[in-house]
Amino acid sequence: MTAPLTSADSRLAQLRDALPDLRVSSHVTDRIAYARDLWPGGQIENLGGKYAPEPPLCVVWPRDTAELVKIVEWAKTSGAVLVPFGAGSGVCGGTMAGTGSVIVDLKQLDRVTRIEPENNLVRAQAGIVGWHLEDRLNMEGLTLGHFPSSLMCSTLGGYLATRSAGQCSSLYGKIEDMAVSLEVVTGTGEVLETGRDMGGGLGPSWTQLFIGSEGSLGFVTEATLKVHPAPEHRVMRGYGFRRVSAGCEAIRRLMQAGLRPSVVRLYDEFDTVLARSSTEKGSEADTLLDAITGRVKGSGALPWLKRQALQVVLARPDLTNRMIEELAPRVSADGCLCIIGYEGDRRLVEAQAGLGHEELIRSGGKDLGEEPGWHWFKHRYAVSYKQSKMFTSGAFVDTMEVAATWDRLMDLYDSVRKAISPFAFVMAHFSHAYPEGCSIYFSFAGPATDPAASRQRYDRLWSKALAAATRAGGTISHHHGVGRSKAHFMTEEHGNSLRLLQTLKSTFDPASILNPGVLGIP
Amino acid sequence: MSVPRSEITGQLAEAVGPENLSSSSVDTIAHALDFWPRALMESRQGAWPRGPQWVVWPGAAAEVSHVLRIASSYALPVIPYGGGSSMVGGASPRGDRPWIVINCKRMCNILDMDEVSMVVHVQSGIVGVELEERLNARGFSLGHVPTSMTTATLGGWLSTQSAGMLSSRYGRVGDLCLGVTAVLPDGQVVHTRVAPRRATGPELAHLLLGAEGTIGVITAAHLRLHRLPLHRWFDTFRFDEVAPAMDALRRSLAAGVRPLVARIQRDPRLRRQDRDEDAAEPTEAELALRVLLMAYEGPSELVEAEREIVRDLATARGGEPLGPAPARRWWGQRFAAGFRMTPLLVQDCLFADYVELGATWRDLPGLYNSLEEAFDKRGWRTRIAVEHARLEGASLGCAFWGEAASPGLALEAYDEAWNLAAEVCHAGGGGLGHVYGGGQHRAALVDASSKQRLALLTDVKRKLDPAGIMNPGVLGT
Repeated sequence: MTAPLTSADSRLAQLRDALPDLRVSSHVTDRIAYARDLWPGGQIENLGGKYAPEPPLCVVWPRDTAELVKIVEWAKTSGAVLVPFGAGSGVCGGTMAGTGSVIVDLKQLDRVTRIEPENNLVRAQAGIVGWHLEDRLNMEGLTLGHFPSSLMCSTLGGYLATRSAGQCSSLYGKIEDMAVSLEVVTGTGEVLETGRDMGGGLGPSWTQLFIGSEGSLGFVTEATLKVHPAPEHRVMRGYGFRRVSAGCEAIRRLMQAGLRPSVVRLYDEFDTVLARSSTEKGSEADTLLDAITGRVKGSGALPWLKRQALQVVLARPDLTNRMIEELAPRVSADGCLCIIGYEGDRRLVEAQAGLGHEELIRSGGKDLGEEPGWHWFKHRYAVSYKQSKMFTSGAFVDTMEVAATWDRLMDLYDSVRKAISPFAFVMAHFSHAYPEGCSIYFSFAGPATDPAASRQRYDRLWSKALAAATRAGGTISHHHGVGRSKAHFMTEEHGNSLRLLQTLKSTFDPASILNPGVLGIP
Repeated sequence: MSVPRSEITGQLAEAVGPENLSSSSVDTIAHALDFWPRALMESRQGAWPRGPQWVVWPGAAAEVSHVLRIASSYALPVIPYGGGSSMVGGASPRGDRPWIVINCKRMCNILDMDEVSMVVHVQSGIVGVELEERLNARGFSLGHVPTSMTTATLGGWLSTQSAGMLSSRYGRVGDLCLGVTAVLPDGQVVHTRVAPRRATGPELAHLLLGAEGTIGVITAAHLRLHRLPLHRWFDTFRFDEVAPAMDALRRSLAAGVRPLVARIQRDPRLRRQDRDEDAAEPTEAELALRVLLMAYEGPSELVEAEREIVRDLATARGGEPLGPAPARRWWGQRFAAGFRMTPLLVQDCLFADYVELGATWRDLPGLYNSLEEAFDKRGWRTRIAVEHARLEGASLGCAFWGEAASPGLALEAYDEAWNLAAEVCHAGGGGLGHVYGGGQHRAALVDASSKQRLALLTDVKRKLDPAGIMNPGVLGT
């Protein structure tokens, strides 16, 4: 399974010599557990028993910035590759060990350093799990406002590395809108505070240039982030739109009218069924099958039948996708579900909810009341923990989050959906809305009974889908990042401005020891 | 080093067309100085600087590219030039080398207007007010209104990360920018791609935003727009001192209020130049008072809720509501304060400038008071306002002026004032110079942490600009 330690032994000895106090593990369990993140392409390989084809040399746990600097200094002289690791829940292969690499787990750096309610700021270390940070802030009556569905299995450092977005991004922004300064250890071993001058400072914003760098320019060790009073009031409501395009148009008007809802989600025809029936207990496979076999055919399917039916459905995704299109109006009488929520000061919430309601009704929305909104709210973290159940049911699942300005959005939706359709069963929702555009979140499922064939199918699907997204003028990622899975599309994404990223890399990591391969840079 | 001037002139003429190239003294003198008060003060002694060797007016990115290739091959320093209204020497040649000024103002077209997404694609040489008027004609506004509005260009704003008087609602100009086109020193034209948000690596436009022309020449940008409001609302609250006004404002922003304008200053009705003819001289007590000026736009129901929140927070902290009039009066005169540079040129012993520093809310009252006190002690006049309020802090904008016994002493006083401001700023936890950029001036005054960040800019610049042609001498490069 994992390669035995041979020539690597000497390097490990060197590391222990150089940093005798550093916590290091080269235990086989750790080397397998840390070999990769939750990239579904890797999960398909796991199904075939290839758990850690390129295991790391070891895992290290630095306890402070000074120790991390020493690790970087050691890597510079030894030539070892360092891969930053938070909670390992990335879905793009951003934290993948290469043979002989050193995994740097930052979760020892998990303190909230300072809470400054009088400045609406918090300072926290990069290894803190999102949920813990939010919990700590809640105790002070504050919120960060960052709620990715991975909240319980992702770290602040991971958010900053990938330009993460939470479910309330329309109100609180993405992580890059929240961060005002970072402490970074660059690939040269220099410790940099990126934005100590509150409000800007001179020259380019290193804060914005390090956020999203996925560990390729430096390790983020601490961050100062904006915080808000915990909301005193919250409203949620559901609306139905006959077509997904009509719902999009309504959301555009809402955002451009100057309203700032906390939650904006619009599900396409099939995702609507899933959204309305999803619960924490039922696996996504169950729900998916309930949706097709249960709801559409009107029969309650037994579990063993579900598994069979899943294979039938996924064997011909193109047919299934077409069938859903045809059946869409019957699937949900209310059309496409749209969830709108507001939170914060009661007066602002009430005023916005009133104005927003008028706008949505004027745009052709059907008022579905509060229930669909609160149903979503109750189950908002459920989806992130269902992946493995799908894989054990013999299916691969993945998600793709793209974004574009409004003028290109429906074209982006149609193009990507069409590109995925021949390979997998596909559905989508629109979330993370801005005045100038919106993101689209595609979920898809394909057959994974034969791991090798599935991986091929999976790779082809991604190539087609990424090409379709860039052709339609969208970005290939809104908040998951690039990692290694989309690295080969960075030229299409950035054109010749990619040269600027290469310049940053050669400046901050001249020895190329930091997470090489992510973002398409060596 | 001898430079083959006529050879270069010929090549530049080829690049932009002979009609768009000049070495005549009319043009080189006009491009010799920007609005940096120190340089203006020096020049009033008759020492008008020599200016650039060449001024070129390219009409497109391809022509800029051609000019930069020429500059690179002869290692000639280049200044990307917009309105020439830099207050920090960012747009004036320095040293004895023959400079090329690239005047971008011919690149002043709106390239595309996406009214569905509310995004405009526009060239960088357009003057601010012209862009705004053209947007207004179609029912939109950029929402970026610095006092340099009638002088500065979009390219200048982007290069200095300018903050306008509506920054509390619409952010700095970089917050409005979705992507840029820029020409790098070797002539390559790069476009950063447009998306509402993305997660595909660092936002690369940020290497050019705020770089003050040291990395490349920005030739166009995609910008977010806002609907031109049909109505604006104003409110004013009077406080005995500055700290409770700051507290009320900070809490309002935390509650989610998004004001169009939020500033704390002296009552605008007391300003000498703005006062009614027959009004009595303000008393010391009146001058000691501070007012919180608020303006709003947006849907009226939402604005009503915002005003109510601010009213409650302000009155609970001793703020006395003065109604809309004082704030509306400030709004009416919002451009009056800026760019009164002529007195500096004609009054030999006058010195003046504008210090701006940023800080978090906790440090602001202390900085406000210590800055005022330090300047008062030396008998210099000041006018301090809290501006660019945001969730975590705000800026202090401090106009200072005074008269010295001689022109030489005026320069000394000017430098002393800046050193003093820097000292007060760093001791009080503030950051210096974040609205106008650094240019030649501010970069020397910043603290060690800022110097480290600027040193990294030099590192990046070395890779993209090995000949060192791009605006050398600004931002410590």
